[in-house]
Amino acid sequence: MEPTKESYLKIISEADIVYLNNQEMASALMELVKNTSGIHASDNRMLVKQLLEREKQGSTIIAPKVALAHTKTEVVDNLILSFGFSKGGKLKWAFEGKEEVKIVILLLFPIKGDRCSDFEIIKDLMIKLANQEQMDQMIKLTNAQDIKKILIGK
Amino acid sequence: MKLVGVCACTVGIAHTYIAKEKLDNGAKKRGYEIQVETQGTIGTEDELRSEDIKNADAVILAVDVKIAGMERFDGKRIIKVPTSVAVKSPNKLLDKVEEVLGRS
Repeated sequence: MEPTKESYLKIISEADIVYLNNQEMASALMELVKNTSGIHASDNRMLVKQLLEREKQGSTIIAPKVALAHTKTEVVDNLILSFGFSKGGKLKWAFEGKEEVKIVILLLFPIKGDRCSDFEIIKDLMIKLANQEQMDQMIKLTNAQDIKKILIGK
Repeated sequence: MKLVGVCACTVGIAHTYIAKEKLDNGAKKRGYEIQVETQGTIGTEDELRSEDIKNADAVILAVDVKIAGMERFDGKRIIKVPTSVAVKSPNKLLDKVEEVLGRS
């Protein structure tokens, strides 16, 4: 089943565009998690911990200025996708060193997830994120809506 | 040049599939034949055929975890890197493959 624009729109709702400041990774992740729909507030800390654990295993920066914070987790029942945008582009994204990002995509996959449509959305999104030209174009954008269009565009 | 590869990351939902795309695109731009298998949360996809492995000049393993079927590559020239290398620097990785094969 090929994901449609509508299937993405169900996932990235208007409320799921989070405006971030030029802050540290842990606080940016908390901000992102807190403002993403479909996550119970009591699970926020656990999720941030899980995302930071993943980050410790290796940087999730996938292109210059773009990070893909992701984990498989028991605290969500459905695939969740949102993104945060820092206009300043100086969001610190490393435990050490000076790596900075402008866009943080949040991808949460249910630990018991087995829906074909979710797998197809993930693969489709990863193909987009692997497209260097699209990433170069996306990072130049100054409007979150335009970034969203690239992420959900067909 | 003929290449085969396997991509597998820790969570199995992101780097595995980005790395595959990057390797596919980078190799094809250079005119190489490449087949890349993924071992992710979806399971094994695009499983390598024994014929492709047999005919490959090299095997690229972009992996962060232990993968299934390593014995398939016994006797082959293997270039093993973390998935982040294939994701961030696919061209450098392919340069390295050329260097290892003495074709740079």
